[in-house]
Amino acid sequence: MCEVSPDTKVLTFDMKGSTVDRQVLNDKNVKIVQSGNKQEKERIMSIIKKEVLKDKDFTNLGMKFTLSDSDADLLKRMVKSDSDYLKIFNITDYSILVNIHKYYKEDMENKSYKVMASTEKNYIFSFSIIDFLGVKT
Amino acid sequence: MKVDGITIHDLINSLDPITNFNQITRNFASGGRSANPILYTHDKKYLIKTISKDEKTIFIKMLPEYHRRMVQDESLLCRIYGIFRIKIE
Repeated sequence: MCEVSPDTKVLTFDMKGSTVDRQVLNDKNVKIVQSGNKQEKERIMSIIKKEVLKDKDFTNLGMKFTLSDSDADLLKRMVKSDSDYLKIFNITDYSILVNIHKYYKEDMENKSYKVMASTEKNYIFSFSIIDFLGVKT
Repeated sequence: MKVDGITIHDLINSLDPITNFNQITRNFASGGRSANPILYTHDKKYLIKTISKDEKTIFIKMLPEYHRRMVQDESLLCRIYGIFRIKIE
């Protein structure tokens, strides 16, 4: 799952493409990250680094996947292809896990197609579909 | 045999219970989450999680097609390298 070293990881998102029950960060912390001073922001960031965030947090934090056109196309193709495959087994309740890492050139050498650099080459995105065995305990 | 560049020996080394002693005990010491523990192996290469009997049944059913897909296609599905059942006597 972590094809890039976990030590360079900045944030993790578990995304389902829904907004119901998909927020981990409370509104107070969101406000601090959006408009707090540097010290407050760093304090909150060090807390949320250890959490697995969700869909609404992604939007609230103003995040974007800044990918090249070819990477974006590949990502969309694979998501479609995997969801078609899972549909055969009547599985729809899976998540896309996104790990965002700081960009290091070495991590992009011999990388798999699931690891994509941001266009500004400041971050690395690593994608994976998890929890696809259908049944929730 | 190598799968994704991993041999069975690599897997055994990563899963060895003695080297993973801290990982295993740390998870149960924190309480509250012990119903469905998720842990990283000591070398951080693999994640271990528990699944239900129903999830196991579904995975076994999809296994031939899942394996074909992992070998032949480009897919975001995370790699499941093994399912284990542990019995304590």
